[in-house]
This record gives sequence, C-alpha cells and structure tokens, in this order.
Amino acid sequence: MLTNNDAVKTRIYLVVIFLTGVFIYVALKLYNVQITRHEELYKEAQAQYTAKRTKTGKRGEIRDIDGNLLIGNIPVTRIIADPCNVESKIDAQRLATLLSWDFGLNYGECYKDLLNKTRMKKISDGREVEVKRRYTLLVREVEFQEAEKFRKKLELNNIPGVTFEHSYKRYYPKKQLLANVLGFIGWRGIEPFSAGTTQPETVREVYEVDRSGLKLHYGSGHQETARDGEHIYLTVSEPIQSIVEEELDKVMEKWKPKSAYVVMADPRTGNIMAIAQRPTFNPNQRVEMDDDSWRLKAIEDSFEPGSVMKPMVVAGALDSGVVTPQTTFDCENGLWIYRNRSMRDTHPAQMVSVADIIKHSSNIGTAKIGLALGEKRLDHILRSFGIGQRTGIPIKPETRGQYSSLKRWDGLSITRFPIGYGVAVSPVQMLRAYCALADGGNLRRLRLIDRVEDSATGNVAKALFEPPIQIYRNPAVANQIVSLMVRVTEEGGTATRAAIEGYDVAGKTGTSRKWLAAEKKYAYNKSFATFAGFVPAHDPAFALVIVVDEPVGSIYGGTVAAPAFREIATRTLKFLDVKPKMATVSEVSATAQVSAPITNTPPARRSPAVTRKREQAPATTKPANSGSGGKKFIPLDESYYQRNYRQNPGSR
Amino acid sequence: MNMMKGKKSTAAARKRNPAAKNSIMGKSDILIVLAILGGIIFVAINSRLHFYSKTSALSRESQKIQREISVLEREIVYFSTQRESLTSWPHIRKKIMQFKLPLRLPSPAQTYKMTLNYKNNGLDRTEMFAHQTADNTQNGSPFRSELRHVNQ
Repeated sequence: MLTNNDAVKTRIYLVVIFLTGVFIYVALKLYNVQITRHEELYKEAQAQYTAKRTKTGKRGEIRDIDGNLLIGNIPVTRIIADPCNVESKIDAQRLATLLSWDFGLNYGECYKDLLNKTRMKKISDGREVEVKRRYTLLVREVEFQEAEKFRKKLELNNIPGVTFEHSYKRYYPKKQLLANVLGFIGWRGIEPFSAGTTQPETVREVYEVDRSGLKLHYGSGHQETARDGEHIYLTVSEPIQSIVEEELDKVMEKWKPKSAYVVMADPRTGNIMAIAQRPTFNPNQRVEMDDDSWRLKAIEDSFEPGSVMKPMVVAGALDSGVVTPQTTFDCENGLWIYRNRSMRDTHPAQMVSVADIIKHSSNIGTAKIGLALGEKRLDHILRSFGIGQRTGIPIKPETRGQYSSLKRWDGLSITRFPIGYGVAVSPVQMLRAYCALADGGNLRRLRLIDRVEDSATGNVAKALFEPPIQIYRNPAVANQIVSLMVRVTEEGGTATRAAIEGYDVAGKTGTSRKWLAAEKKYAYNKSFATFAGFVPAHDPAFALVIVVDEPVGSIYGGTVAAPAFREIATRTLKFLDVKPKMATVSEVSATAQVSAPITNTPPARRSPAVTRKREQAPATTKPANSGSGGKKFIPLDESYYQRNYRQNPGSR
Repeated sequence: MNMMKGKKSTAAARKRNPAAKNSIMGKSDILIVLAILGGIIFVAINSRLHFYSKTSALSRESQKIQREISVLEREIVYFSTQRESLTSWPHIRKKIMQFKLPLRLPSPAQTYKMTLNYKNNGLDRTEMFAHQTADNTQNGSPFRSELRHVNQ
C-alpha cells in the first residue's frame, strides 16, 4: 500500500468501485449488444448498408442473313423527380421551366406536381394517412441524347431531386422495311414468335453501400451480370428486300390496287429472300397505323390463283405419262360447255399442244388435261405441290388456303381446279410450289430463320434444313416443264413483259376474278393479277411471286404483275451478280448499255464483291414411290395412285 | 482540510518505506509502456481511418468511372443503331437523289471475280480479286480495268 492514510484509502476504494461498476456496466452492455441482440441489430445494420436492385440485359437483336440490323434496342431514359428533395419553390420553378422547354410539358402542371410533397395512403386498417411523396414520373422514354443534354442542364443549374432510370426500347432502324414480317411484341410476326429466344435475363443484385449510398466494391454482396437475349438472323436479305419494296411502291403508285404482295425465295434451300406487302406501317410509329396494315396478308390471306396453277397440273400430267409436250387437245375455238357451264379462252384456237396450252394459257386445254388425269391423280398432284398445306414459315397465323378434300369435289371441280378457280392459296404457298418447279420437283419447307447466335458466347445454332420431298417420278419432267414455262415469256406468250434480256425467265401469268360472296358471282372488273416465275430458268437464283389485288386500269397479270417481276428480277440479278447467259467481254462492249443510275439498285452491304456461296441443302430423298429406285420412266396405272393416295393423303 | 498534513504523511511514508521509491520508478515504466501502447493504437486507428477515406475516395472515383462507362455503352448502342438506319438503302437512295450523284453500278457482264484459297502460317486464307470495267466507251481500248483486291 502506498499510504496508510484512511481518507486516501477510502477515496481509492471508491474510485476503484466506481470504475469497476462502470466497467461491469460497459461489459454487460457490450454483451447485450454483441451477443443477445446480435441477430436483430445485424439485420438492422444490413438493411441500412445493403441495397438491392434488379438488372435486365438487352433483348436480342433481329438481323438479316448478312447481319444487317432489322430490330435493335435504343437506350431510353425515364426522368423521375423526388418532390421531397426539390427543396425550394425556386428550384421547382427552374425545373418546371426546363421540362416545358425541352419536352413540351405544361409548366403549371409540372410546377404543381413538384410542390406536392405528400400523398394519402390507405393503410391496413382502412384509414388513410398522409405520407411523403418521393416519386413522380416526369417524362417517359426520352431518347439518349436528349436525356444527356437535360442531365447536363440540371448539373449546370444545380437543381436537385431528379433521377434518371435507364432502360432500352425496341427500335426498327429500317423503319417500314419488312415491318409486317417483323411485327412487334403483343401482335404477330417474328418479334413475338421469337420472344422466348430474344428474352434477356433478369438478375437480382445485392450489394453494400456506404453512408452516401454509393456502392462499395470491396463489400460483400451477390452480384451477377444480366445476360442479353440471343440474336436471330433471318434468311431475308435486306438489300433485296429494299429492291422489292421499292418496286412494290411503284406498282401501288401506278395501278392503285387495294393491296399487293411480293414473295421471293431460293428454290434450292427454301430460304425466303424477301417478303413484302402493301399497305404496310412504320413500327416506330404505331399510333398512326390501321389494323389492316398490321397483318401479314402474304401468309394469312388466300386468293384464287387463276392460271398460275397450270404449270403444276401440266407437270403432274407429264410425270404421270398422261400427256407429252406434243399431245394436243381440242380447245373448242375458245368456248366450251361442260356440265352446263361455259369455259372460255382469251386466245381461241382449235387443236393446241400441251406446250402451247401453257404458252397461251388456254383454260379449256388445261381443263381437258385435268379430265385426262382424273380426280384422284389431279388431287394427288395438287397436294404434292403443297396446296392445302402450311409452308413451314414460323409466323402464325398462317392460312392453309382453301382446298376441298376429294370426297367434296363436285362434277366441275376437275375442270376448275387446274385453272386455279375453286381453290384458294396464299402467296407463300404459291411460292413454295414454284420453288418445287424451279428445283427439279423438290418440295421444301420454306425457311425464315437462318440461325441463332448467343450474344454472350458467340455460339451459333443454325436452323436445320429439312430434306425435300421429290414430287416427280420421271426426272425428265423437271426440264420439260421449265422449258414450257420459258416459252410463256418468249414472243407470243402471255408474259413477254416479264422477259429479261440475257436471261431465260420461266413463269406464268394469272388473272383471277374475285368472288363476290354477297352476290354469289365473280366480279367483272375486280381481279387478282399475278405473275409467278423464276430466273435463270435452268439454274434459278430465286423464285418470285407477285400478286396485285384489284389493280385499277388493267386486270391482267401479264400487264400489271409481269413488268414488276421484270424490274425486281433485273435488279436482284444484278445485285446477286448472276451473269447473263451470253456474257463475254466482247459482247458487252458491243451491246451493253450504260447501266441505270444507282438509284435503281442498292449497293451490296457486308458482302460487297462476293456472290454468296449457294447454301447446300441436303440432297433430295428418294422418291417415295421409287420402288426399285430405278430412274427409268414407268407408266403408272390407277392402282399405284390408289395405293399412294391412301398412304399419303395430303401428308406432305 | 489539512492537505499539507496528507502530503507530509505521504512523503514520510515514502521515507519510511524505501520500496516505495522503486514503485515510483515502476510507475514511470508503466506510463511509458502505456504511452507507447497508446501511440501504437493512435497510429493504427489513424492509419485505418486514412485507408478507409482513401478507399471511399477510390470507390467514389470508380463509381464515377462506371457511370461514365455506362453512359458510353449506351451511347455506343445508340450510335450503332443510328448507323444502321443511316446506311440503309432507302436513306442512301434519298441522299443520292437529293444530291443528284451520277453513280452507276456495273452490270454483271462487266464484272469478273477470281477466288484464291491458300494457307498462310497454317491458317486458311481466301483472297478475292474483282476486275471491273468502269465504262463501256468504245474508243481504242474500250475498258479501263480496275483491279480490286478484297481480303477475307
């Protein structure tokens, strides 16, 4: 002991007791905070320094076959104010002024909104209480550059209480190009069809923040990167689509039809290269359009095709051995009565060969070919070419058209169906059939989606080619029917206006009068003017179908649709760099004209000087009825058709 | 209160107890040790505070840079979408018509292509050569050839 003095000792004791008491108190308090209330206080603290937010990636893009963007995302911003943070009336005035200048909002309404700092909220017992108003949406979907300018103005003017919520919205940079096919979410088209594929990932991020709310990079937390959706590449080629839409606009201007459609495909693969219709719309400005222009009528609507049906029937008749190109039929001088119904030809003649029946588009001749085939064979032929079936395009709804089953045929069907009346097809069904004619009888499913790319890894999944179905048993028929169709565009044929110098064009015109359901008769002056064909005939780069609904001034396919075919095909051949059949240097110097100004043909993009390597679709399957598999042509009897029809009733 | 008395008694107590002198020396040691410990704790706390403030400053800086990166990313997406719009054929055609540019494309018969496939450093390479006639005027040498070399 330092001292024996009692007073000092007492003081020392008192101080020690006091300090011990304080120490014990602190220790107990610490125990209470750190041990007893640990969980409760830890959660409370965590709630204060932990923030949560959801992050969503970008929706996948849709591009054409060469990667040109068709649907993308553009950054947009929502401008939000916290009225409780707009401190003074002057700040509210300044903010309201900026909003009215930059975004055209009403100054008075904005000012009132910003000054309104409370709102009524209903609580669980039904009472309404006044709570602080911390959120008001000022402007939605502001474009990126405008939002940045506004943000800088706010910073310069030191106006508090405004936050920006960033997101993306869908944008169609090519505006109305391919609009009906692309569609939009909530309607129809590729965009809603592929929504599952292009859908981005949404992740929940939990992270620590400091006192001022800034994220701590060294803190613990659960952070993930939101994956973007997958990109889709269509089979459509943007430059070719542009050509098609431009020419379609010219048709609309010249013939003022109710609507018009153009569809183009590669016969060897079934890839759709272009698909356009009028009327159409700009998907970036959807408030302006009408319902009728939204629909993809080239897939949803059907029409009586008229004479464009004839090559299929003749091809089937050649294949079955019923006729040869030299077989002649009595065309009754242009007027034929069958079962009390008359049928007329535009070019009356007596005995006409099958070759000329196609060339001059004789209805009577074709009807008699139908009679020679018989109902069962005719039905089999039409179904073999895909009539009454969907084409394989992924967009819904797709019409099957109208084609009666055999048991519902009446006595006239056998003469009407071959000339394209009594049966309704969509433009894409007709395109698919013409692709089969162009590709040696190989009927393929049409393709619209080429591949899908994972935006994160770059992996590409290519859409599979389904093997085609061979329609012909006799391989010689392929060349025969193409040669007959080439004569249609030569002198004396019905489609001389579809001819292209330097190329063999195979095709067929069609003029089908419209059925007036109310009056139960065909209209005299309303028709579908159609041309379907492919070029170059014996090695086609593409098949093309043009349908014009109710043209004004002329109703004929040869007058209305054939010239449009020529224009589209000429420009497309140039773009694809398909050489004319006799293209040599000396011939060019002697006969070439200065090519038209570039206004007519778009430059190739992304594949500038390359003729795209033709995709190799899988080899054709053996004919379903090949039997021994031999290539020798064998005349078929009725029993074959009975067997085959029962086995494959419209299953193609 | 007689404080002097207390002091004298303490001093007297020290005189009587020489060991008390040693305990005074021990107290200095303890004080020194306590001072050193206090100093270490002071330095440690200050260092920690200093590092925390630096970390916070760096965190704010990185937040700022991240915001700038985010803005730039959005800007890139915006401009690439705008670029697609501006390079579309309808837009280009509009400008050609507007400025009356006398541009022409060659017809297919005027263009020849040759493709060469070869290996270079173990990698497959393809080179395409496009030979294009610029005009088809017929004076002397009718063609002015233009060799374009396109690498893939």
